[in-house]
Amino acid sequence: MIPSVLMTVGRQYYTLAGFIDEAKEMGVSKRIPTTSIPEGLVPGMSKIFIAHPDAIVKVTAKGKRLADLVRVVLGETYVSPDYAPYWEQEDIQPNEVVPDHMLSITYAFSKLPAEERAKLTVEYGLDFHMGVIGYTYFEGVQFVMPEGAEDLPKDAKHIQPLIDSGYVQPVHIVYVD
Amino acid sequence: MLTIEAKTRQCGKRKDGGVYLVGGTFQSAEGTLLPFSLISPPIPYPAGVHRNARIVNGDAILEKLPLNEWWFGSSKATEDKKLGDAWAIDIFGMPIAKRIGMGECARVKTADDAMEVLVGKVKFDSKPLLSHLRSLAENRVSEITRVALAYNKLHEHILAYTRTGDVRNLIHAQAAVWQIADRLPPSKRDQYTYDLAGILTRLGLVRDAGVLIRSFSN
Repeated sequence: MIPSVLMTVGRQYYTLAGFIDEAKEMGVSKRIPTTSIPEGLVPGMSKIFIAHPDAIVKVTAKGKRLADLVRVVLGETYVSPDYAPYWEQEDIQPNEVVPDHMLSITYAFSKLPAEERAKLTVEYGLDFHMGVIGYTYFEGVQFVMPEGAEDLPKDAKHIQPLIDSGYVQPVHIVYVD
Repeated sequence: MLTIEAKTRQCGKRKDGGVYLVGGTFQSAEGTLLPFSLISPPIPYPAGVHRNARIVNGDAILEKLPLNEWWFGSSKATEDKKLGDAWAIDIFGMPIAKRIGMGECARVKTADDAMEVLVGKVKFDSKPLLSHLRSLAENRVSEITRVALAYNKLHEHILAYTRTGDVRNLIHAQAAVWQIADRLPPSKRDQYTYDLAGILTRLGLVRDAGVLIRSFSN
């Protein structure tokens, strides 16, 4: 079996829509601790799965349903009459049924202005949950060399064997914007 | 060394000395990898945000298998250990490595043996035990935030034992005593250690009571 990796995105850096739009345009580049580089990943075959804490939403306010929220954020044409009932336990498990339109709903919600999101969150009693939203194929592990440096900094010497084996590639970044 | 042209991302520029996992950037030698593919609807992942990359079996995620089947390699070992530790803390009030070879379990080598010893020794000396429990309540141990959950557990399991006589409740109760002792701020230990050790004694775990006093008295 070819191993893959699962990473999460913090909502303080990215809204759900912000991450998806950027990943589609620029791919994924996720920083990891230098002390825990996952080994055994295969370029072009291993996947980088991404989870976001606002991927799945549950409407908990009395008298409100998911269909009501969909009507607000996506419009009447997206409302489905047969949304599955919500899971009852606090944590949602991987095999729970999630409504088909969920990613469209949470994506559209995250594009709303912050004030409107806050208002809807209270009005509908919105309860967000982490979900795996997509993946891309792993291309490599890159180490960003400090500007002007030719050798690894002292505190990164432990990754030298991974650089020697070609698994980690030292790079310089030039920003074009 | 490779030089990469990049645009600034929402999360900022890459940090010098940082290590990055990269995918879907179209900068591979092959230049043929797929961009970011959406999974719709999202697959529930009952976890908090984490910075490290967890090694997974991607097929298990896509097939929505139970979470414990997602992990692979060192991530599987980490998750198994976490599950083992969570189980041990629930049953013993401490990790297995700490429980075996200590107090009542000084001569055992496995978690199963430790459990057997505790089940064999544990008893319920009602009156004095309830007196120590009352003393904890009167001294407001439940108002110490870090301790409140373990204290509630202790209370619930003692009550459950008096209702059902199920000895498993006494095992959970002694675990809760250890959890309370472990979570008490050092400045509060002297105030509660005597009653905690008293509860262990009245549960029939005299050696554990001695260890608790030695470990948690200032």
